[in-house]
Amino acid sequence: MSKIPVNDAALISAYIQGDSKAFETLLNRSKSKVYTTIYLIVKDRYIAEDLLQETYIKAVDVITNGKYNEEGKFLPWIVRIAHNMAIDHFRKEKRYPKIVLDDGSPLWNSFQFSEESSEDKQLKEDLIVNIKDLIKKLPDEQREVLVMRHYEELSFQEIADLTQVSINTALGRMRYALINLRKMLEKQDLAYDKKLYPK
Amino acid sequence: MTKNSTPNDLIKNLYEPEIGFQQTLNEDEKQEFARLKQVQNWLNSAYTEPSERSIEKILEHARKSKKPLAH
Repeated sequence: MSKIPVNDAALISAYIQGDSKAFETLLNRSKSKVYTTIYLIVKDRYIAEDLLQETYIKAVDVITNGKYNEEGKFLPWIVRIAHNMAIDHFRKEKRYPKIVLDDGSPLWNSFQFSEESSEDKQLKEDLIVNIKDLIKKLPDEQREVLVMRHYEELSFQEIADLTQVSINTALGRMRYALINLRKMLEKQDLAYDKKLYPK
Repeated sequence: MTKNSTPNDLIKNLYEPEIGFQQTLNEDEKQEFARLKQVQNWLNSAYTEPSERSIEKILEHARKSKKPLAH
């Protein structure tokens, strides 16, 4: 049994050499961050699942074609691919409006999630829906910085450069985003739910 | 010894921590930092997992695309 290397760069090298277990480890490490990032942008789990697959398939193709830049970190790199996929999705949506069923799911995905029915998954669903709703209530500039820093793991300097503001402005927007979320949480009496604050 | 930190310093160190920063905070700043940390933890708990079906499709593509394992 081969030993799996620890850091992401070593895992990518191992995968390039033909070790598919290395890619599986990489996927398991990054999937929830990538999926949550996409979900918070597209706000639809069915679309998020599709875009997640497209994101990783694109990443695999880049890696296996020898085009991956090993100097970059894997997670921020793949999150950026996911972010761009989500934005592209909105552009396409404008041209091709989707057909939506009564429960809000798209017509072409209506048979895909029958295996998800446990209580834990339902709790998680409720939680993510609640968080999505609260994040959605933030002003655009605050929500943008929050998603970029917390879920996409960009540095404040990178966010400042991308959004063309000073680093202090980016930090200030993040601060207000967190303060506003805290106020909303307190309002909902979620602030004292221990399930939401794991130690 | 404590020094005054700006509100933005707290946010910066919440996400990009500097060694020893928390030891420089006064009591009010420590409390504010802890409250911000709570919101950060809450956001962390929002991470959700994609379905097994999606993961399997991705792994299938990864297996098909890799070159044969060198011996």
